[in-house]
Amino acid sequence: MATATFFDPESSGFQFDNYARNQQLVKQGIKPPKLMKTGTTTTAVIFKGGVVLGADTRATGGNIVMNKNCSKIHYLAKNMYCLGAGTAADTEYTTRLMAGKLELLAMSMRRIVPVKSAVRMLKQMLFRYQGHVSAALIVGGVDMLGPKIVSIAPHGSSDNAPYLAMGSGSIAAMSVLETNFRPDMTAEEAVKLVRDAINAGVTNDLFSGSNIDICVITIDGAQVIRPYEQNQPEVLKKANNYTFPRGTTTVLSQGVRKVDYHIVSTEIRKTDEEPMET
Amino acid sequence: MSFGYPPLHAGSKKGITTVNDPLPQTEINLHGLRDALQTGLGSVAKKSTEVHPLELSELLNTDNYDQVRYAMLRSTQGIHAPLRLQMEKFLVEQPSRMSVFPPSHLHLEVLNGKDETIDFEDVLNAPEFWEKSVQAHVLMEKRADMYL
Repeated sequence: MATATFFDPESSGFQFDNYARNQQLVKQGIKPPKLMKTGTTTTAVIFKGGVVLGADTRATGGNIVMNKNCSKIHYLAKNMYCLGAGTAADTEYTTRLMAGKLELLAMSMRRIVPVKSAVRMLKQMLFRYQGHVSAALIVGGVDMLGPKIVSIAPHGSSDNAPYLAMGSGSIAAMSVLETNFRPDMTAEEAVKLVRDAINAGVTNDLFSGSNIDICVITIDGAQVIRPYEQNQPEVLKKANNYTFPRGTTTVLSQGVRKVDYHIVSTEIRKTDEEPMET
Repeated sequence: MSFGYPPLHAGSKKGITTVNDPLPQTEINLHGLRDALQTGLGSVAKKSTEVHPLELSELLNTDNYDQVRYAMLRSTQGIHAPLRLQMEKFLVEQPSRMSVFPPSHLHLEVLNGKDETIDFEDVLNAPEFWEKSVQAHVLMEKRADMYL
């Protein structure tokens, strides 16, 4: 086991010890493992009284689909959810850490955390890591100032707009949003708009596919509809319920039998000594 | 003569820009020689200068952010504000007991505001998962200035 000298203590957080070794391996021609990316279509839209967030469910690694049903709608707070595009592990860890930070902040502030606080903390964290944490997020929620959606790029810049799209399928989704968005829509209209935008991404982008997940957030709370729409081929759908009721297989006979065993050895052990009482 | 006051403008040359302990220091013992018994035989890999772009920035991250805040405090409230804060931090960082285990620095975390947040340092490579161990005898020898 390696020992640390007094001058070189180990530190917590990110470790860069293996960087030199990895560079040597790359020079020798050994390729690094493919990161699982949520090459994605994520969309968010503000309607009258809330926000609608939508995402597809495909996660790819290179040209291979690594997850047909991954969840890209991450919980941040009761009134705030986050859509994650980019490297899957980065978005997952960043949003889980942020959910913890927001809970601690809500406890110390004793009020509901506004969306702008979460956005500020995320931006500062992503900027600190200079884009190496590859997480392109859309934060959406309803707080005391009303509904709000903000998109955050991996390097730490943010964008504030009534409708947003991120990911590889964002161009397809944005075309649908630009054509059909109107201010002060109803919840049903907004859900349909987001569904159409994600569908455009799913059909036109290779890295987006499978189901469409929707999350509707109003002042009363959040509702995650997973899946909102399924695009699975019929073969993959579960054909039947495979838990069989008791009695399906005929029982021929039942019985109780004694197992003959031999005592191999006995051992006498001392229990804890009781203290002497005076 | 430099008193070590926080700079007036953050990002000025008086701020920290280099790491205090360059890497080869870990291999040199008190006599100024490479101690092969303690640190192992040398290899080319150890002398590699490939450094991750974030390595230096992460090491100096808290110091750099603090320097920015101290400079702001100095220009808005006067020199006393950052000096008082730095004095508190200096007092609290002093090791209070002769232990080989790293101190918890609870008071320092409260002053830094780290007691009310969670960060990657608390999740990744937390102290209970450290792979390196400190040689207790060597550490105590260094502290008592008695070398064998």
